[in-house]
Amino acid sequence: MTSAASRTRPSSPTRLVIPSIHPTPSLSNIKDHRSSTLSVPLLPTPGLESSASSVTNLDLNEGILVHDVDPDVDTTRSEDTAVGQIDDVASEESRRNLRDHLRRTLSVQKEKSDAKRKLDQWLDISPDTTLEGYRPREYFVLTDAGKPVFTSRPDGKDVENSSSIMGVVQALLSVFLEDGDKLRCINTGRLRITFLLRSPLYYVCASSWGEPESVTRSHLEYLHLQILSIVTASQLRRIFERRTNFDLRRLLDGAEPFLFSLLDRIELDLAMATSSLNCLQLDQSLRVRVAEALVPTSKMKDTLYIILVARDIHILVNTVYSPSIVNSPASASWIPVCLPKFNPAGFVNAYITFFRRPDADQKSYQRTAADNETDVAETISASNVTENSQGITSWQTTRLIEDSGIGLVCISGGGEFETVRAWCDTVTQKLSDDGSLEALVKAVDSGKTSYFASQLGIPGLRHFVYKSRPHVQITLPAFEEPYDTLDAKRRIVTLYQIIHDAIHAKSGQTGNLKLQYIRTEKEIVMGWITQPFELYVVLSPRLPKTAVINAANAVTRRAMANMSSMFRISLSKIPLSRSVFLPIQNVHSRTVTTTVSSAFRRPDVPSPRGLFVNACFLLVIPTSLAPGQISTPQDFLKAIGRSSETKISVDSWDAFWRTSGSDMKNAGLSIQDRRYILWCMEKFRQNQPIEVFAHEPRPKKKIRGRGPAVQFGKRIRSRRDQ
Amino acid sequence: MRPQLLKVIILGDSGVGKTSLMNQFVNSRFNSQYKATIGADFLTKEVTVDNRLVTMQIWDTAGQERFQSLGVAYYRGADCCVLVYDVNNSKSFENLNNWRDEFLIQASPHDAERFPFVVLGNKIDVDESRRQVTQKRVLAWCQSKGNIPYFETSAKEAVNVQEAFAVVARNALQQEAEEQLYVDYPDPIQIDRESTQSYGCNC
Repeated sequence: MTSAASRTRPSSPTRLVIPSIHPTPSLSNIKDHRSSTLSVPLLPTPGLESSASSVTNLDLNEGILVHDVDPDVDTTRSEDTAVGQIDDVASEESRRNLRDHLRRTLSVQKEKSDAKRKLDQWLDISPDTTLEGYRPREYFVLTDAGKPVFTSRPDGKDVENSSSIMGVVQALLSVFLEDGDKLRCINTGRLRITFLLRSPLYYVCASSWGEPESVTRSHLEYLHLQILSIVTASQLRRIFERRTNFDLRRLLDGAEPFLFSLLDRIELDLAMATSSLNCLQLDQSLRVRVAEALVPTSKMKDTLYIILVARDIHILVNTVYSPSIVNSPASASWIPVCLPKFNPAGFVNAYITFFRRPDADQKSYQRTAADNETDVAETISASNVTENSQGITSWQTTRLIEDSGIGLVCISGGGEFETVRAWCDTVTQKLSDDGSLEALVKAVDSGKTSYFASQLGIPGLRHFVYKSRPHVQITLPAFEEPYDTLDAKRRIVTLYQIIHDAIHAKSGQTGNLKLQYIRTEKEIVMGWITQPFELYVVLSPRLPKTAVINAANAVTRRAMANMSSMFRISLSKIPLSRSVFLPIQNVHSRTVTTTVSSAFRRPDVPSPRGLFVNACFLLVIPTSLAPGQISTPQDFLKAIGRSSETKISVDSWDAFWRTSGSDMKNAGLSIQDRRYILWCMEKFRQNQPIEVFAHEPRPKKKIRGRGPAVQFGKRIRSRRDQ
Repeated sequence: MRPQLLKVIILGDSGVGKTSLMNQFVNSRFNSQYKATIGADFLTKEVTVDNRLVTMQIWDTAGQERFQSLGVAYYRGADCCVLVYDVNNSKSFENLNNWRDEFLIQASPHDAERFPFVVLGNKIDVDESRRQVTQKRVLAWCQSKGNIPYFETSAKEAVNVQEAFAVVARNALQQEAEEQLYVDYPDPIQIDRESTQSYGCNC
């Protein structure tokens, strides 16, 4: 493998110029790309500093998600008590020696025994795969007392062995914790064991795929979030404060499918790997129509406000598509979910229903039982009973065919089950009445929502991932030859992850690379990061660098041109940022609920061409903002100044947010006013404080054009700046 | 239903036979050679208690004083603690008090008063004439500490070992069951309390 990295001067953010490649002394390190963490030669290239600005302000949100330093390690208490026991210097020293010794022997033993054990186990699982194959990663979750919580191993297999692994892990981590130190990972040959400490739980992942440590770490982080979504962080903390020897499996009983499906999903899901969302490619008008139907009606308005982030959304999607939910014969589920990044202390209620095919019998499957106290299993079984009592025996089998694979999820804070249910029914009705549902299903079925890299007609291009950074969304073609086997997909995903890691400097590289290029025997992979997007391309290994660059540019152009159908960008002409934020305030009520309406593509139903995308749209609608000051559109217009309130008049928020520029034009607003009001609306939608963004118009220019370089005795431009 | 895991800690002075007891229980083997434990060892064994399958994770700690500071890590989250002394060594019996206190301090179990302990007087196979601790004395001590179950064992001759650990498992389980986990349904989220929520993306 040759790995070359070069910093390029960004002549324009959207166009990649063939980098003036400086002689790179470290280009010759040829090795297997999976053998170790990728060496990333960062060249001090004098004269190319100009790229530094674009490098440094890559403020990557994802970086925050992986907490490398955990300040609340629970070491203080143990330190205190230990000090009470041992106060003379001599024993302190012997203690330290001992610990060093232990640390040495323990680590060595652990590595050996674990590696051997893993190897044995893997060999017996898949005797016919070669050593280079991708063996399933192993995940363990344990409490800080060393009690098992979850293992990725099949149920009941080798329980005794797993519980001793847990014991070893706990002892090992404890030895380091005693010193206020944290074990992050152990590398032994090809195997890497990554640890994540989220007191009171420890997470361990053993993998030999050669992905960067940050990848397995983020997997463990997801695992943690999924567990929190089941038990909530505060409940977890309370339980373990009361009883350190609690067996968490009691609480997680029945929830393992969520964890297993998360692990399955995480393996190949590039949206999760890039901390973004994957949007279903759709005709824009259809998208708008569906999204409009999902805007809550007046009944649902009494509330609002959620901040959903990509991770929570993934957790949610995973929950929705877990086999127990997606295959459940119930027509709808009502489950408590904790969105840990939103609020780790409590549950919100998720109402999940899958649309039936419009041609199938449409009426009357919208029934569920159970209130929010019921857990998932009970909800499902309860609904099961209702179905059975209807005598629909073949329900389960027919459902897979009749089901459109598109689901509606509604998250609310309160327990108003009936309201939510009624609303979801109306939405379903509305969608099927105006034919959008049919169109949607058709689009999904006909494979229009997926595409292939070859359709782009770019020579040598095999696959790519394009992430639009402002939208936090990715688009990618379906995998096709030669990446249609599982191992090939795994290889590509791992390569993507290596590059993602490198260009985000996640493994402690000294700086972000703008461009990373890896050539293996089988393909060329290149990653490229700029302010508006990240691009990862896979090409045939025989292409010269220029062709690679051209292909990257071509993909970028295509993606930019098809923005509107690939990404969910606008709704009712309202430019959307990461989610649809439609502030709709209810003046009368201060109670707050949250509506997240999403239609999701079902990943587990193999679409004709092996589609592997999930989320389709996602709509987050806060219905009130900043309670207190702004309660009507008029208040808002007054607050933004420029006497906007005298220029247009709207009576409801609903109408206000649907006001477009041309409506304002018809109302006789000047272009400056229209621009300013629309701009303010966007800022307001993004929750920025009004007093910060509202401003008076700039004073009229007194000089035409750019004017002279020296104005009023001050040099405002200099040739030297250029 | 997967077997529940019970974490059992064995404590006692060095040389009283902690490792031998564990080995006898798990592997039914005895080795007369003395080898000091370094730090801690553990073994797991599945047992059936009252028709329930449980996995016992038995932690054998080092008895030497110089290892005692390592305790916290191992003691945390224990379900039962086995205190071992040598019936032919009265000092090892007197030290039980310290071991018990030390455990309670370091493990700080939720309900210290009712935490299950089991006391084992080991090496009863040795000639009766060399016995230093009378049964009466031990029972009195156990009584005073809240009726700790007491067994006289011999790891060498496998006397009472299985029985003792059966009681260990049962008591640990009982404690588990008694504390009926009160999973209070968590408070609903107060989404309208804006003060606690900061604006902006918290990813």
